[in-house]
Amino acid sequence: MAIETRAADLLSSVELSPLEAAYLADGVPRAIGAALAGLAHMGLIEFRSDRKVVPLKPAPTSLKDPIQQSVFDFVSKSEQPSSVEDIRKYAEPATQPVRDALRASGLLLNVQALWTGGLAIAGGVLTACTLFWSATNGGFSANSVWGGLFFAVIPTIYLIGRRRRTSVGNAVLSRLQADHVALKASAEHAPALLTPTDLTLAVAIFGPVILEGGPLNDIGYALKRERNNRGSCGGCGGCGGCGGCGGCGGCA
Amino acid sequence: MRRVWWVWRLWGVRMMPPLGLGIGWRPELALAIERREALGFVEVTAENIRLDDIPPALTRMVARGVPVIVHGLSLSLGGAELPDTRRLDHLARVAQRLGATLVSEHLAFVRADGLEAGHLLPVPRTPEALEVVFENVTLAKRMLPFPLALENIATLVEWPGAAMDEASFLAELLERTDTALLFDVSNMYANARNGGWDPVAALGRLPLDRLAYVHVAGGTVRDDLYHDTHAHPVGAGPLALLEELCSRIAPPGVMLERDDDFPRESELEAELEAIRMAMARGAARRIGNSK
Repeated sequence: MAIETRAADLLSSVELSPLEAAYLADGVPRAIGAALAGLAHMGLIEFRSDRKVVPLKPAPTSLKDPIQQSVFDFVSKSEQPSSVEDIRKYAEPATQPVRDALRASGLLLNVQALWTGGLAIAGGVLTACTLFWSATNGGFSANSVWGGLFFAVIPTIYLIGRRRRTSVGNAVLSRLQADHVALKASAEHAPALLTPTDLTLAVAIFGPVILEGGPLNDIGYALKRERNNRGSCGGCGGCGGCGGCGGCGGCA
Repeated sequence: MRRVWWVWRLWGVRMMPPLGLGIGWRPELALAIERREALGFVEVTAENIRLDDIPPALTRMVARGVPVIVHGLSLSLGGAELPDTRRLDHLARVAQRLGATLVSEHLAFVRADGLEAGHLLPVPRTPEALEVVFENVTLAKRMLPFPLALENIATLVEWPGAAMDEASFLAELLERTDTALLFDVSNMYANARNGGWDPVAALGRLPLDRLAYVHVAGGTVRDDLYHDTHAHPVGAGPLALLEELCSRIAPPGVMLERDDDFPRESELEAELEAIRMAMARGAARRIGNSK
């Protein structure tokens, strides 16, 4: 009981900004998507029906968040309407401090943990596949290893890709989602009533899907389509089932 | 024995701790409602709740200990047919799941001979209709494991041949069925304004000792008729009537209904503050009068 209480205290003491929460939830795409949603809700940019983004007016003052600033800089300086993909590529470096901070606070796996865990997963899957291949092909041989390797590649990439957050990071994200169910309800039914910060947080925690079908459908639709049409990952889920590719390093 | 049971249930309503200032829970307002620190209670519309999919935000409010009242729209207690037992069962189950201590419905009918009106329609204010409603309310109370409060509705039409006025009809029904009153200030204001009668005088004919809680909502004037839209800010008329009510009695609870054109959080706060101020003005008058 004491341990549970202490764990709850630890989780509730973690304070994340909306874009940190976005990065924790789904890496670079979610952080950029949340920033875009917030900027659109401020009336600084607009999502067009072709899923491109155009500036509407200059930012009144310097935006506080570096990710938002970077996103807005790219959109406002582009001569053509910008795709979400291009914005993401440009603004990705601005997300690195967030990633580093989340890793430093133990919410995201660091590089060493990713490698160590990845190798352990790869070894385990390869062993399992080799044993299975051997059992079904009459005994252990060099072919069993190659066969096992062949079948191990995809599940290994899938399993490695799924590892992005630490167990504490998963718990913090779950707590955020549980704590903000009212925000989710309001974002799904009346997103226009939310402040830009609330809308950013809603997209950060629950994803752009909560905007689909509502008055801000263009934003949700653009961010979702962008996500599903990624050429690099093809929506295979190999980047952690998140569809985001962000931060795991596996798809880079 | 049943009479004793009903008296006990009505006594339960009267003995409920004061609810304070509440609001009708709608998903659009979920965030604003959750953030409101001094929230007395929420009212939930039973027809909008699926028992297998209760909104997590609502469950969270219940877990926080916010009192819930379950409000029905479709029992059609003023209809010629007996109320549908499935609807009564749903109302009771929703109330049970949300830990409600009170359920409420309208003194109206919404269907007849299988046709759904889609609106709350007024009951003819005749002795015959009173008998029918008495039977329906009695059945509903028998099936509901919670105290029931009945609400006056807003209507733009009246049946001809009314034998009594709205307040007197309601008072007699509540007395005969031993039922609590959900007084909708805005509905009475709308009917009085459109019908050309004095709502303050009608207050005196209402059984305010049976008052469970109060609804307040906004409306607008179109073609010289006041429409109780629940989509506009609460106007001066309903607020003045609320103040008058509060000068006579301390209502156990007062709540804002907003069902469309939802306002931003700051506007919602301003509306609730206007209601609170009207209650405070009325209370000050009541205390001043008692000295």
